[in-house]
Amino acid sequence: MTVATIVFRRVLRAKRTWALALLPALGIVVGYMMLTNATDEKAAYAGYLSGLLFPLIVALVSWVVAASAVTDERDELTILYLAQTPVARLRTAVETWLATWAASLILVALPVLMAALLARNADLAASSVLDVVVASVLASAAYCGLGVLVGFFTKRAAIWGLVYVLLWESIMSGFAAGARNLSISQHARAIAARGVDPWTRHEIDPPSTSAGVALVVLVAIVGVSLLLAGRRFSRMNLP
Amino acid sequence: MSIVVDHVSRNFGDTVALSHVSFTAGPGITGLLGHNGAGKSTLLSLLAGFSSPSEGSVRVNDRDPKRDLAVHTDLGVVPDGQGLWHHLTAREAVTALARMRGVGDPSAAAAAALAEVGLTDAADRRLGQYSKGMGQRAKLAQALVHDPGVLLLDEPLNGLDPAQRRHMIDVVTRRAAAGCTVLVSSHVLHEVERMAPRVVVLVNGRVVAEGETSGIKALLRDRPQTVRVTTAADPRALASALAGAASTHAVRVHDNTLEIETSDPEQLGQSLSRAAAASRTTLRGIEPVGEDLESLYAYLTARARGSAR
Repeated sequence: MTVATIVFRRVLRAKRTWALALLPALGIVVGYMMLTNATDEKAAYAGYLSGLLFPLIVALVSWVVAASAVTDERDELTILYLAQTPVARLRTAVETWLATWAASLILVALPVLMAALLARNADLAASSVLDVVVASVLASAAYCGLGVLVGFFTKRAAIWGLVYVLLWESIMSGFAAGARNLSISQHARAIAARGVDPWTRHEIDPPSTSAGVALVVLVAIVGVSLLLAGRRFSRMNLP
Repeated sequence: MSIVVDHVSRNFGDTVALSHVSFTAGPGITGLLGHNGAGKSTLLSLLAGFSSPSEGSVRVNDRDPKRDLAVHTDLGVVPDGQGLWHHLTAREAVTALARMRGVGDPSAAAAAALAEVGLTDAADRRLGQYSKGMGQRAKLAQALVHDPGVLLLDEPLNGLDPAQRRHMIDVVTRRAAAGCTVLVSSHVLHEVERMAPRVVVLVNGRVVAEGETSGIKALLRDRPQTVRVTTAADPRALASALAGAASTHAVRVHDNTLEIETSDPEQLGQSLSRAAAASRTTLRGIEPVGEDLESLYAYLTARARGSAR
């Protein structure tokens, strides 16, 4: 886990990481206001998941942390040192993903905890709390996987991530059912909405897939992203 | 041979960085000499497995360094200009790389490599706090930590003060004496001369000279050179007096200056003082023209083209 340790420490020391922490902080403030002021607790819970937690906080934090970890290595050319080892390129990609996933989970932990509090406040079943945690963890894994992959393809991966998250995850996927099935946050919603009552499920607005399918999709996104990232790293021409 | 470069070309779009480069290198130090942009770093990058040639092939210890990752267990590389991870200490970075390269006791190997480059006292400082010279030494330590049989050093003396240069040269020379194959690049001839008994000269992506360093130096010494002489008055009398000298190939007159082409500057100096006395000319200044590296390489390029024809 040497690569993971190097990347994890680098991410935690980056100023960008702590600037990104403003987003979870905002989520906590908004969540707290919903917790204390909402008249319809279920609508507040659904709105927090659908409008803030998955498509913005988890998506942006995970993508930017992962993509930047790779592009920083490329920009500062420390990737040349990772390249002059016999460690398999796939393993380097996997360890980079693990490190950035762990860092992202630290950053989104409190907003996820806020979602759990909102679920309890809405009198949802205890399993809903577990569902929202699992959904957040898997969504973060998928965004990190894609961030690592795109980071190996372009040094502007963080910018592309912002465009993707703001346009696709936040706007486009809300309009069309087809687009919804191609959205990571929508699949996270499918897992989070697994055990809630039909009305709340409607407000969370997941895709037409089951939680099981959503889980498989998110895991597949991670697997395929890392396979392609390892392949890209082994084939790319470094300076 | 530990390093084999066989008809290698490397293109970046329309730019040809290397063109049909071939040479081999075995144990000992081989210098890779060339001006900035000659293709030295591109060639070392290919040998390190960082990139693939557009044409031809490179082999390090009979392995393709791009495809066969096992090559890195016996290959150490000091890339040009880039530092290690600034958030780690030198000890942490070198230990991590030793571990990734499969060294049995990474901590002990890192301590030994850092001691070899003289960084023991600074080993626990973050690399971000290192000076450029210390950073160069840390880069050398990571290249040595797994005791490789092949070392690729890209401008390793950059940023070092004279004492650090001597120490770096000593370290590399010791490794070579122990049987290591070292390929070291530089754009400064006398730097290469101090380390490498053999040199490959690259100009604009092509090998224009290859052989013993002393031979290349003699070649450069014997090339036609131009000397500019500034006089106090009309230099035509001096030009006439010099015209018959054996060391003089041609003399051009411009106002108060003469440009003299010679293949033997030392003998020209003697002829010049005699001619100045004979023609009663006062000399204001004597300076070589085109003594920069570019002109040396241009000469070698022209010579290589001539021999190719």
